[in-house]
Amino acid sequence: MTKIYDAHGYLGANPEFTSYGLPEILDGDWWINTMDACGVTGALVAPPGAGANQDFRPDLERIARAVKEHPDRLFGYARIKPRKGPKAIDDLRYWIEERGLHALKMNTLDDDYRFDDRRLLDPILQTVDSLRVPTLFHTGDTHAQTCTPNMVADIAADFPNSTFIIGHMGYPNSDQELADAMLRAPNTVTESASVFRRIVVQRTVEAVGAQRILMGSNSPYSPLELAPPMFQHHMPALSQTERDAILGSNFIHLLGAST
Amino acid sequence: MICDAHAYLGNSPGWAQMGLPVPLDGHAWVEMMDRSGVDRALVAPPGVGAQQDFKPDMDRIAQAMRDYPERLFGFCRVKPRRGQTAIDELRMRVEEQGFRAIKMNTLDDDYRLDDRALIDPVMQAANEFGIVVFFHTGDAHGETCQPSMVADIAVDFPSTTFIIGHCGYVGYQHQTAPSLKRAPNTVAETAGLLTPAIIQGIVDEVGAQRVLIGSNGPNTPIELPALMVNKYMNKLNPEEKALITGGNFERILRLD
Repeated sequence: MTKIYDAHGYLGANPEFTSYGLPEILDGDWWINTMDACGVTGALVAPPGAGANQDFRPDLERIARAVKEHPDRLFGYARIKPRKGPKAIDDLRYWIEERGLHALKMNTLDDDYRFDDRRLLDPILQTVDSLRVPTLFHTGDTHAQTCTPNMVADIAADFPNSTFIIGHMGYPNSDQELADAMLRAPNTVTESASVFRRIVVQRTVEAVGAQRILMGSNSPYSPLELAPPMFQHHMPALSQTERDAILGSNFIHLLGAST
Repeated sequence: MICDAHAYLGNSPGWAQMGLPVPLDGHAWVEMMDRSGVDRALVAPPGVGAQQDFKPDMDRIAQAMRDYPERLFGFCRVKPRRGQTAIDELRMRVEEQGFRAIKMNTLDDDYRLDDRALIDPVMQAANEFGIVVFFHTGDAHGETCQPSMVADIAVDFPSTTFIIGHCGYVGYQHQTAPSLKRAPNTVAETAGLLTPAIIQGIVDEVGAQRVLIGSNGPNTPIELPALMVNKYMNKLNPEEKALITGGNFERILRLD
């Protein structure tokens, strides 16, 4: 039976969650219960809330606790604001090396920047490279011009030993450039959080191969339960091997011994 | 009753690439609906700016409506720059074939929803024929098709119901609730929007009777919108969920 892993979810506090009936704070237990209800084995979760106050620390703390309590089910993204300079790098090292988080998530909205601002980003990327953890870059959406798949490919080409996740497949607004960007940078993968357009996924599979695509949910902004059926039931052109890769085995490969 | 207010029936090359049968006809659609727990769907010809003015797919939709008159309902789709030809086509589809609504997407004919000299003759025809008007809003070309532009049109045609497609998502969703408030003869539909917070925000502003689920199916799996509303939007009471997932559809299309 295919083990299903979610490469892009959120654990922590956001008042917005209550607007549709969720608790304001989603902790490790909420995630475990939700995953069990949806048949999902594990998830890589980030602090919610673009540009959140306190540099995401309260939620990073929650994630670190959840990862410690459920080391085979929950995996953590660190999230930092690059304009904090050396402080951000110290934070990143702390959350990865001392608290056991597994990856870095970057969203240009967090600190009003662009992925082609390499003077700002390169010190962080050098740190990530030395820490040997993957980095997810949010791409697409209304601020897509600041965070395109091509910008991620440019970065990836300069850090060939690191793995970079092109978040949300560039969807919407930048998905047309996704395949070319991934072909240019072999150390990139992409994930499908909030991408429910089947053709976007199918074209990407055909262009770069299923082994470079991970299932993401964006949960709880989109319900976790919506993500697996896309690949289990609604992509008939995929082989079972491709399906298994997207749903789980690529995630296991990405995080290696952690899983 | 689960009703999908925004889906596609016909022939799209992308569907074959995804492994779906093409053309996707009424029989295939009803099989898909049965598998997905969807009772009714309002379907449009796929393919922005399609050649042949969408006619082959509108013929397929007409046949599907004849085959499944209680399950499938049709959007006509026209290019407004065709002028009287577009209006004649609309009249034929409505009066002779029973189409219930018109779908307009500015990409179909490179126009803007605030080009009223172009749009208004089509709106007058829709008003005369008593059909619902659906406008695609938002997306990469959202600047040409904003919810506020739909509201501007709607206030000038108060007897017609206008659907703000996709709730302005992505890029213009913040306009949707104010537009719905300004034009009481508008409703919003959710295709492409599987994020509960945005939909709940609109419901909180204007009420559940102004929101319908849409799927974008088969581009997106058609069971997801109702699953999201019924299972994951738990500030809605059962009556509100029933309106959003079907009741509003039946009221607007006068099916009850």
